[in-house]
Amino acid sequence: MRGKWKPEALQRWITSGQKSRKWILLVLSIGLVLAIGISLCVGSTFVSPVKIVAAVRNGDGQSSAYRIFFYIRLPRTIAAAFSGAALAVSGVIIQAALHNALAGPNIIGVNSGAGFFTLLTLYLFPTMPQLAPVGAFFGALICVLLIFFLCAVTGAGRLTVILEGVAIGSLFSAGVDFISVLDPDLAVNASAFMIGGFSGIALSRLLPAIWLILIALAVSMLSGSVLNVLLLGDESAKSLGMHVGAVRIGLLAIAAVLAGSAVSFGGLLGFVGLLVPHITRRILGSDNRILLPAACLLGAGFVLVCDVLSRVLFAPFELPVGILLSAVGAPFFLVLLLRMRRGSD
Amino acid sequence: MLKWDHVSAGYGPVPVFQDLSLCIAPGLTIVIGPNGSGKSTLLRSAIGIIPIREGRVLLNGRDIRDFHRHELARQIAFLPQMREIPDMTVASLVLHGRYPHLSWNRRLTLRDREYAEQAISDMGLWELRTRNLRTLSGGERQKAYLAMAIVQDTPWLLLDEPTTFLDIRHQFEILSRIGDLAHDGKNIVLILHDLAQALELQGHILVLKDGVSRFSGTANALYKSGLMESIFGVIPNRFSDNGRQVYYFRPLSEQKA
Repeated sequence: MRGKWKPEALQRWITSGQKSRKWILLVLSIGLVLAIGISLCVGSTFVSPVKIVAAVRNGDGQSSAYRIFFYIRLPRTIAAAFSGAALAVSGVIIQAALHNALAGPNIIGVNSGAGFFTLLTLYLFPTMPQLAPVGAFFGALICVLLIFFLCAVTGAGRLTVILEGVAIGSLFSAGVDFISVLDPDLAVNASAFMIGGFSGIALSRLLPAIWLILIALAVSMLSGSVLNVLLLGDESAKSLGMHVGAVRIGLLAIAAVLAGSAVSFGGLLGFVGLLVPHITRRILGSDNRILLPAACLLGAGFVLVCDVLSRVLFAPFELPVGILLSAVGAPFFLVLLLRMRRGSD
Repeated sequence: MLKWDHVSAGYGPVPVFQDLSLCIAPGLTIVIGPNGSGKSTLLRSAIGIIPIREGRVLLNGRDIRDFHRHELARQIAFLPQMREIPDMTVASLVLHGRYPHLSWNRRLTLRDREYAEQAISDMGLWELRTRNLRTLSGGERQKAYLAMAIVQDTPWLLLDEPTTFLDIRHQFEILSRIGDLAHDGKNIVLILHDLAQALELQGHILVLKDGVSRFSGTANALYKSGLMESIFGVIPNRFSDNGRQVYYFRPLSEQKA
């Protein structure tokens, strides 16, 4: 057997065995730590790690390093990492629960639903921005349930779901436009919100959403084996004793918490929830027990790197990261559609 | 004992069968019938994946709707006919059969793994256990699914046309494994499309047509009943080959010749 090396041997090495899985998670974790480090240091002014450590240890609230670190870089890094992780995991769950590889939180209109309700909450309760994630969650939940029942009625062809998502998305975009016409001085700049980005984000606005995301991530990490049973198809899952309908709705609710919370502070970041699950699946196969943590790490790292790029690419101007993500994600989605059409995957 | 008591079941405005009453005794039962006769619906109604509108299906005298889903899945395993092929290895597919036996944290024990390994090697799939299902032939895949159903460790096993679309060699292999399982005491309800295979198996035959049970008895009794002509539109013939009955069929149009 020596000397003959096959590409699928590598694939098998990667997919089989707990040990190699742990290695991959370790590699992804190291990548994420690096991305966090870079995101903390790089920006319109470079702050070296040494300076950051010194500033934090001195606790000198007046030094520029301290202020940049605590008021700009740290909130921004947390926001990017958490929204990336949340959107990616939400994508894995939505794809498995709807049995549709083309689905993702932005594709099926969940992001725009969450966006509309975020702005609606801010419009109705301008003094309580901490309500935004709750509103976003309800918006996302309404969207996933709408899609779920439309699937049940229309038979859930892959492309049908996408079209339903387009319709729902446009509906809520109209809602967003309506609110921004009603109140041009909304607490959040609606057009920046629609593009999606993390500039000027404050830690206080982040926290409620971060808590929601942490809880939902913890729950979803435990749902891998349930998602795997859904891979077998509805009839098999039911005959193995699973309450398929109830499980689906529960999973979609978790996905709604994740996507909704991420949207409530990051705006409508497109395609992370589609792109990251696909890349992870390509490398690691479809076992959701490994896919969920891997997508979580990769999603966080990916959005962090994109956010850093958006700061430095056109410096001193800053590109909202949503533009970058859409520029990468939309062509990727088209490639997926083409592959799907040819019957592969 | 599985008992259908005045059952109407099916999706859509018109149920597939109405007021169906029949009994399936322990042992091997082979269900045959023309297309659309309600064979699949019969099996699905027994595990509650198709809504029962009227009547009830009883397992050992207890309404299946009174079972908790997991509890029912520990009594009856079901292999549907049409399936999409999941992207997973043979071993992880087979391990899914343990799902109804897992505790709340869904962690597989050593015993679950041993169970799966045993079933995998019994089905002759040991060499293929790390292969992805999508890279296997239809016959190998069907054996993997059968191994999953075996691992589910249920007294009852319902199989919806497990040999359809397989190479003839694999059809015989699957049928022989099913025969072994029945011999080992598993109660099996098997839908078959191939009439000759159905009559040659050592089991009880049930004939459905238009959602009505038309015959229940031995292959020999069915052969002599004249029902093959009226229900399937074929003339049955048989000969003895080393003491085994071999059946074959001719179209009804050749009767006068």
